[in-house]
Amino acid sequence: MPINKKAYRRYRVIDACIRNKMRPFPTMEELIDACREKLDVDVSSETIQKDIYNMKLPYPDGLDAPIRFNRSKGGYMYTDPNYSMSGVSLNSDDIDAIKESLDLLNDLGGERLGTKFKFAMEKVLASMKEELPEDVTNRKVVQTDVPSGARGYEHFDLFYKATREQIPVSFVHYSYTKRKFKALTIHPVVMKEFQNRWYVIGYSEFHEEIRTFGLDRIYGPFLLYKEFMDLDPDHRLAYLNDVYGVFPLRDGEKEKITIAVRPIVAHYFQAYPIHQSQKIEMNDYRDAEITFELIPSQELVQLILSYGDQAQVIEPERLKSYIKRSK
Amino acid sequence: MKKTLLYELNITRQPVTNLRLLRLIADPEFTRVDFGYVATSYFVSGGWIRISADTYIVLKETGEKLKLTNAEHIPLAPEQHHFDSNKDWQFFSLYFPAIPQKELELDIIEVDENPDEHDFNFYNVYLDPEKAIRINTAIIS
Repeated sequence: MPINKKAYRRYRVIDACIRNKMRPFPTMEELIDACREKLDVDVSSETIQKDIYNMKLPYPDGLDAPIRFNRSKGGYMYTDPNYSMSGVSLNSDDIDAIKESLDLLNDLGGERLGTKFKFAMEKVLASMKEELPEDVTNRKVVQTDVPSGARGYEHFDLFYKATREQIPVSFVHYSYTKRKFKALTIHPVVMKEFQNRWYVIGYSEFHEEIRTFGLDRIYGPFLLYKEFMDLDPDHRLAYLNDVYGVFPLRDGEKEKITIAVRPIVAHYFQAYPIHQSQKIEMNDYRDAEITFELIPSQELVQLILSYGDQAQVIEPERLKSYIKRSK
Repeated sequence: MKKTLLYELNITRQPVTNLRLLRLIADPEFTRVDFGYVATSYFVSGGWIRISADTYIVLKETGEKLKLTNAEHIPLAPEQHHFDSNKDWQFFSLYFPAIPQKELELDIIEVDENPDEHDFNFYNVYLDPEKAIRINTAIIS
């Protein structure tokens, strides 16, 4: 039997009173007064008695609370002093850690993710009679360059659910390059964030292959009752692990890519490797050759082009000519 | 049992191809039709779009007309949505009363007397029941 929200709030007050070491063994009158004060509602002794009865019920119907009326003290007590309503004992360090994690998540994950997890964490903290102080959660100490109000982010929750639970999705996609709308169905396998933009990757029925779609170009997504088409695990892993960025070049396969770079560019690659396969060899003139085992992608092309004449592709020929055409 | 069916149509208006009929959603209580419009260089800043409040669906089999009940992301005439540039685009949806959930052919008519190639008219739209996909509304809610 689910516990209703109003009753749960009373349980929290009763729990707080019983655990209050400053005023142990609260009487029925004190419990009624506490509910009136904390919740701003009038409750009867019958309601509190019923609440205590329900709290004592074993999980999942109740909270398994070891409440007993102590006749000699004239009030209520827990027979197990370590009892916690949440079933999880958190000490003050644990609670601080949760609060700090939540702050960090808020700062790093953007407003929407932050809010989603904030609600869940508030539930955990509420059971420990802890509140999230507004002044702390609103004070941003880590800044990321995720702009608020990015288009398509409102679909994040739907695609996250679809990806987790393997549910096909119908949506309308607008291609910036082709300037064309298309309604299509994908079977999403992963959501990927790259350079502050979110993408959903999955098998597209229309294209009959794995494809990447930016959330900013998606309209009207609907979850479907349809059999999910999962991808071959090897293909899936290659697409996810062997691509720098999100848009591999058409018919691209994993291959050795070598670029020659000037020293200053080599320093950036040393500081921020772009792939686990990256290897840097400095030559006698302090220039460097960097090699990767990657599927060539649009983002790799853009990265190389961004260094101008300080970075040049040595191999493969196909990537070399692609970059030449893109200049 | 109530079910909501979705048809991916991807029909391009002819001969002026910058309007696309993308999907039709047949709910037991309403019909939603999704469109995509791409602004053209015909106007320097992309021009404007709007939809006539008299727009309707006509079921070919019975001749029954179902009038527009609501429009999303496109204003009803005489209001207009002006584009910022001729590279803009607009996704919009029109709502009509429910249609029968079976094999159907229908027209979507914005202008029925002397229509021109810029009106939002689509003819002989075929809804193939074998291509209908059921929307998972329970999960959405």
